[in-house]
Amino acid sequence: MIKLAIDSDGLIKLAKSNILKNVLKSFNCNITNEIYNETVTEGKNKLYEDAFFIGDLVDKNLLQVKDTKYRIPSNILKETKNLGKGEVSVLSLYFEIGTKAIISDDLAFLKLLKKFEIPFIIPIDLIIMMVNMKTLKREKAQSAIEKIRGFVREECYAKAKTLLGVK
Amino acid sequence: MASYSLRIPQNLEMLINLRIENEKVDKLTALRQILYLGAENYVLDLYEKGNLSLSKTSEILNKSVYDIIQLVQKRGIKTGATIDEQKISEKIAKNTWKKK
Repeated sequence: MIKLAIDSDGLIKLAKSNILKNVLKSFNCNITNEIYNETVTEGKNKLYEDAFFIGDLVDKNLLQVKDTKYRIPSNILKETKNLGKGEVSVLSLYFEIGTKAIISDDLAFLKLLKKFEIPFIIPIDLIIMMVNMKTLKREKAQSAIEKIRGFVREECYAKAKTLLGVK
Repeated sequence: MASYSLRIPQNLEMLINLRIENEKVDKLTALRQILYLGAENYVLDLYEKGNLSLSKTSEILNKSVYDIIQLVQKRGIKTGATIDEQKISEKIAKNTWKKK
């Protein structure tokens, strides 16, 4: 199974798209303790529904929570001052367990990944990838894209619709 | 905690007095609140432009990541990858599933 690391932004957007369970069944998905803290612990404290949902998925072992030892190459580490603990931990996880890509839609994080040619896939493209892999039906993908429309830039939403063949 | 002394221009003083009247708070509270509101706007602007990440924004504003996502939604601020990042992501996604 393709191994992926997900940050808080990617995880929450996939939760909102209503296909997070499909993603977790199609890929070997990993988050860090910091991401768990942000998306589950702190989210539950504020009674956010997505936090309880994500927490359930972790409890059912569908989403793996990993420790990180913060092993990031020093030339990359010095460029992470605009990132929080969550993103830095996911970056470390990428290096430590060798994930195929990082799932994120966070622009500051993506800029860094782009600079150092670390592979990333934004949630919208992951949804389309699953249609191409035939692990997600086109209709469900279309619905998922609509659900996260308010959380992504219009140009990316429009591109996703084109790629899915929706007018 | 740091402390600063500074001169407040008259128009800003009017703003502070407005806040005192409307929110029923004292002068220093009003000033802190206005300062925080300004800081919040500035930080969210940095987040929108991709100069701060979601986690970093939540740390600075002492809010949860969900609060930040909700806040930007409320203000109609669009965040996330631009089309430049999307093109790279699309290519990586294609290569990833084809090599599976």
